[in-house]
Amino acid sequence: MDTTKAGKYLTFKLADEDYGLSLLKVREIIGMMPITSVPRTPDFVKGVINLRGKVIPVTDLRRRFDMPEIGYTDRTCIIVVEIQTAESTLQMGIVVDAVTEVLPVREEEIEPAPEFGASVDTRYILGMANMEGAVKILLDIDRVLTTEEIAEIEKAA
Amino acid sequence: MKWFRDAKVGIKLVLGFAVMIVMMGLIGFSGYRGVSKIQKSLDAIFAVAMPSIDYLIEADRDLQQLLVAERSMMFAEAGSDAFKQFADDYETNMKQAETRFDKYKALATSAKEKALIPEYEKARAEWKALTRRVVEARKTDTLQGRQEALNLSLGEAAVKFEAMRDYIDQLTGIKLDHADAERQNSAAAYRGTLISQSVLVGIGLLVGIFLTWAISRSVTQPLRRVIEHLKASSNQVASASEQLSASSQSLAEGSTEQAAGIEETSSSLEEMASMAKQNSDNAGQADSLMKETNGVVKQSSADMAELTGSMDEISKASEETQKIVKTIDEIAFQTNLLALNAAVEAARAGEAGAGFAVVADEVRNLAIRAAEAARNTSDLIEGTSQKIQSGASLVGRTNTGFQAISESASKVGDLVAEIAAASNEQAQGVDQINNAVVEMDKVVQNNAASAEESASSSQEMIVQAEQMKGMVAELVGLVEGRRNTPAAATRGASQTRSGFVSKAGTGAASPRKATVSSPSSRTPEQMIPLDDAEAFSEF
Repeated sequence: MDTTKAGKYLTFKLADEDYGLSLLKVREIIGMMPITSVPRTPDFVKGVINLRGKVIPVTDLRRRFDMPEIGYTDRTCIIVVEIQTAESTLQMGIVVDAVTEVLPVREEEIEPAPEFGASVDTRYILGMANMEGAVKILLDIDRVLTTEEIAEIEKAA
Repeated sequence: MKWFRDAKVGIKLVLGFAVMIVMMGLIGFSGYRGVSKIQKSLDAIFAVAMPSIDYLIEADRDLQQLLVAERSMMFAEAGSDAFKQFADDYETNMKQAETRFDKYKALATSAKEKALIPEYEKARAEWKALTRRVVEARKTDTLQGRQEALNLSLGEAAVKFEAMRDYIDQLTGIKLDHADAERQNSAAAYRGTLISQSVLVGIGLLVGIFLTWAISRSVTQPLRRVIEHLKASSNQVASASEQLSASSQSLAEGSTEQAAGIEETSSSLEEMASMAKQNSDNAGQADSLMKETNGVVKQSSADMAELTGSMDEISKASEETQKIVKTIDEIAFQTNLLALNAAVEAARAGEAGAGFAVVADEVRNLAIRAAEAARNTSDLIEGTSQKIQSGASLVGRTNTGFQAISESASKVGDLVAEIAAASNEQAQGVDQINNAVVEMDKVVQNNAASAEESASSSQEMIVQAEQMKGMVAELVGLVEGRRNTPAAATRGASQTRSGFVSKAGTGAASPRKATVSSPSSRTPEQMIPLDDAEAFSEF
């Protein structure tokens, strides 16, 4: 993991908030497609998709972040990310409300994640990008899901 | 006396004159009686006593002449002419004396005379025989015979002659006594007549004076009252006539004004009639225009329906366009995704992918612009679609409006037709009114003429009333005498009204003054004619 957080970020929208995701973690962006739900999977796992013959698990970040679910729109996209685990690299789709753009973020624009107390886990936030008056939350996708969760997803896949 | 007061004037006069005639008859009768008594006495004096006395005196004179002739024969030669003359005288006087006494005898009336007459006749026969002897003795024409005759004549014959004449004197005295008695009768009759005449004339005078007073009083008093009423009523008639004249004149003027007003009305009505006809024509034109309007509205309604169809088509076309735009948007979205994926690939390629990243960015920009353009187009189409929808609803409303207009237009057409009919009727009605007004005009003209006539009649009446006043004055003169009413006599017809009016006004106007309202400056006295009913009722 680089010490520097500056670089290109793919920004997307989730419940009216702008989030950033390091472009290097992104494998592919696809439009919404049919999701096959898999039984006995965690709540935040939507199911799996068939991406050019490859089965990829899909999670819903709204569910993960305990946000109210909305129906999918024609702007809803699935971002296919590569999660770096201890053993391997896992491809996973995350459903977002809309993909916005690719944005270069400089070092000085990034502020550390605020501390809300010991009970609130903010490790999955890389920092807050303060750009042109708007704050974008930069996510550390590797830490958004716990190891156990990833393991569960791997089982589903 | 009441019946007398209530009796007719004629009866009063007849009664008075009858009383006076009776009185005159009584006076005449008493006069006649006295005069006839006197006449009888005069008759006795002049027709009986005086001829009797005359005959007696003449017979006495004849006898005296006879004596003269007898004595004269004594001195005349027997057989001479003078003797013969005396003898003739003697015979003539003898006859005359006898004739005249016979005439007296026929007139003799009283028993005393009739007793004396035979005595006289006896004495005369005695004397006659003696005188005949005297005459015979003289005729012998002897001295002896002459002596004998002379002795006889102066002796015995003379005594007999005087005895005979004494009877004549006695008879004359009786006749004179008769005449005197008749004269005294006549005087007594004269005195009686004088007394009775005086008494009767006195009574007659008293009765006459009383009757004159009573009749004149009973005639003049009502006459005076009548005159008073006549005066008052003639004044009232005069004032009423003047009032009538004034009101007639004002009526005439009013009628003339009315006539002028009616002429104006007539011309106004003619204008109204023409206007009503014009209204009718206009209403007909409006009716046809409304029918045209109805057609236009129907045409417009059909056009609006077509417009609605066109707008529906436009709406459909917009929907199609919207689909196309959506497709473009989709494509732009996909292109954006592709560009983003290209950017991801370029980032993965590191330095080698830098140029590709720029291309990807450009593509992404294009995709965003395309999306924006699509969004703008979509917005525009959306707006157009909304506008078309609102236009469609507007068209629908307009359509219903046009239908309402069409209905209203047909209703208006009906109403206008009704208005046209009503205007026609109105025109006819106005024509009728005009005819009526023409009739009214004639009537008013007649009224004006009548009022003029009545004004002139009332003027005539005023003159008549003035004449009546003059007549009343004359009547007053008749009743009161001209000296008592000099003013009335001289004033005549031109009597000042003010005096009369004030006199009448004080008596009559007061109780009604309040009720009768005088229209202008007329004095209340001019209203008095109303009060005369009571005054006239007395008649």
